[in-house]
Order: sequence, then structure tokens, then C-alpha cells
Amino acid sequence: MRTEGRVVEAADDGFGRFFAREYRAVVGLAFVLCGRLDGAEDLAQAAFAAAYRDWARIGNYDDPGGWIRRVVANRAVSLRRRRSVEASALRRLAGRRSVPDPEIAIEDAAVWSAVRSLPRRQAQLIALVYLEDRSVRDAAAILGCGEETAKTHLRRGRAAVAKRVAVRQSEEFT
Amino acid sequence: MTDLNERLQHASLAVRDRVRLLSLPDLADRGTPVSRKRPQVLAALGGLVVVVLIAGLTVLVVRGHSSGQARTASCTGHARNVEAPRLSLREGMATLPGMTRVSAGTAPLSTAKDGYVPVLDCTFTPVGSLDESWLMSAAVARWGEDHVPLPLPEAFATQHREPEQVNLRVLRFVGSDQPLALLTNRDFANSSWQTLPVSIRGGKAYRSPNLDRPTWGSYIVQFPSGSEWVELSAFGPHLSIDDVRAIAERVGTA
Repeated sequence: MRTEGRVVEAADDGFGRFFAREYRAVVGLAFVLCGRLDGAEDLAQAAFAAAYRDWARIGNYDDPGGWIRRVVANRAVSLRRRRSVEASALRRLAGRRSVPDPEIAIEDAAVWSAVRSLPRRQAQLIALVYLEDRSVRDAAAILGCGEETAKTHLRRGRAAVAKRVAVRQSEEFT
Repeated sequence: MTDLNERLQHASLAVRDRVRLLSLPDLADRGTPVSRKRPQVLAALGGLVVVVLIAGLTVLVVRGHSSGQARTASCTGHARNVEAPRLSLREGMATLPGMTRVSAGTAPLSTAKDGYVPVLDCTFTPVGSLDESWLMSAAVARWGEDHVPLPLPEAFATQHREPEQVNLRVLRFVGSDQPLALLTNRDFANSSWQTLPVSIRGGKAYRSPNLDRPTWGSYIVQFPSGSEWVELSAFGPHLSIDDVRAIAERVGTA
């Protein structure tokens, strides 16, 4: 009974609902930006743990979900860069290539790989707009940048992804 | 599957499906300071996992996790928000004084209306599109086309009369009904935009507050032009609505 009471207490402060509602989506965001599911779960859990520690403040934000996405999006890119360096060193030592997630089709993995190769802001915006179906305005607000800046980053990112995955998006000037 | 939007949406669905299978972890395992300060929280979080699992399943059942699945259920072809073929640059702007065109491509409906509203994808069916991006030529000369920092440094931008950037989107439809309907559709204008009491080329004009440079001019103009719907946005330290009107007059006159 004591546990039930505390569950209610914890759920009543909103964190439980927030966690249940957002966890998987946040893992997805981290996953496409860092390229590894295990790393994505680590990032998401660390961010939610941080949110829980400071829930009295973060829970009162207008958009706690935006806050946690900004944290994860920034950390995911850092993690990816760090791991990229580590992976390169390992590959040189072991002569092995990194293994893609077997649950994601190769063509889909190629798209996200192209996204990850973009500059940080471009990758983050594509992830938020496409993976989460967010408007450019929402994505810009989450990342703390201006809407017009976001649109330009998004446009540049889309053009670069199109080239990298060789899909139709005419870029030539006629 | 050759369309960029389609590729990105398909890849997004794959990831959503992948993470949907994840179980919710026990955050108490993360060793948060909370668990040291309030040991009872460990037990609470253990029980909480059960609660959130149930809540999560409920959410999934009631809402469906992915709007992407819903969006493709009843729409076909371009109505699914794929990108309509690119229009000729004649539909855009031939030149802009002091500005350099840095990209020209297709414009998906979702980008044009700044967001995704699934029901509209079956309502508006563009048959052609054009997305142009222009940057201040002085900035392109200073940093190179691919490395212009955005927003531009204040000290640099204010030395120049031209806007930092101008973006143009043109969507062509069959007939003039859809461009007019698009103009009055509330989903195609952000609630944060301030409507201006002016009409440019028979359309609407807005001021769009910018987080990066709140004192700069930032405007969006939308207008119908025959079978086309045009959205023009411009941003710069000295930009006025009259400047934007002059830019709008150049659209479609190449």
C-alpha cells in the first residue's frame, strides 16, 4: 500500500504521465541523431532522470517536452561525434565496420545516416520536423533559434540529404 | 520511392515503429540524486513503471502513436504530401539586387504551410512547386555560399542595406480555387505572426517575430497568383514592409 501511495504521489506531480507520454519519442529522436539505439536509450534516460530531479521547476515549463528534446538533441549530436572518433579508432585497430540496427531497413538507415552527416542544426531540424511531425516554428522554438534561420537550415539540410541518398530534388539552376 | 519527403517519412515511420517496441525503463536504475535523498522514491519509481506502461499502452491505443500512419490511409499521389515537380525558375525571381540565389528546389506542401496538418493533404493537391533561397551577396562573398553563418553577425549585417535572406515558395494548382482557399486557411499562418493592415499583390502580410534578432525586420507575404500560391519571407536588419512589397513585385516576372 505504501508503494501505491507513492506511485499516486509521483504520478500526481505529472512526471509519470510525462515520462510515459514522451519516453519512446525522445529515444527515437536520440536514435536518429546518434545512430545507436543503446546510446539513444542512455541519453533519453539520463535526460529524464535529470528532469525528474528538477521536476518542480521543469514541470512548470510551458513545454517540458521541448526542454527534454533540446537536451537530448544536443547531447545526441555530441555523442555521435565522440563515438565517431572512437569508432574510427576501433576500426583502424580491428579492421571492422560498424553494424547497423537490424530492425531498420537499409534504405531507411541510409536516410538517417545522411541526416547525421549534416551540420548539427540541420540534422536536428530534420529530425524534429520529420520524425516528430513538428512545424518549423515548433522545431525552432525547441532548439532556441529563429524561425527563418530554422527554415534556411532545414532547406539546406533537405537539399544535402537529397543529394546523399540520390533522390529526386532538382537543384540545378535552369 | 524517389521523393525526398516520402523517403524521410518512410524512414521516420520505421524509427517510430522501432522505438514503440521499447519497454519503459526504471529510472531509479539511473542512480539519480533523488534516490539518495529520498530512498522511498526508488519504490515509487518501481511501481511507477507499471503505471506508465499501462498509461503508455492506453495512449497508444487511444491516439495511435504515429500521425504518419493516419496520413497515408486515405490519400494518394500528391495528396500524400509528396513534392510536386519543380517549376521553372521563371515562376520565381530572376534577380534580387544585392542578393544571391543559393538554392532552388521543390517545395512540399508541409514546408509551405510550415507544419503538418494531415487533413489538408487531401484538400490541397499541388501539381508544381518551387522553393528558392536567397542570401545577402556580401555575406556569400565574405563566407562562401555554404558557410554563411545564420543569423548573420549583427555588426556585419547592419553595414548592408540588403536583407539577410529571402525565401520564396510557389505552389501551382489546377485552377485558382485552391490558391485562394490556401490563403484563407488558418493552418497556413502561424498564430504568432502579427497580421499587418496592408495587402500585397492581393494577399496577406505578416510580421514574424524572430528570436535571434528581435529588432530586425521579419515579414511574410502570401498571395494568390492565378493558379499559384506564393509565400515570400524576408529577414534583415533594415527591412521594411515596403522593401518586401518591392521584392514581391519581382515574383513571376523572370
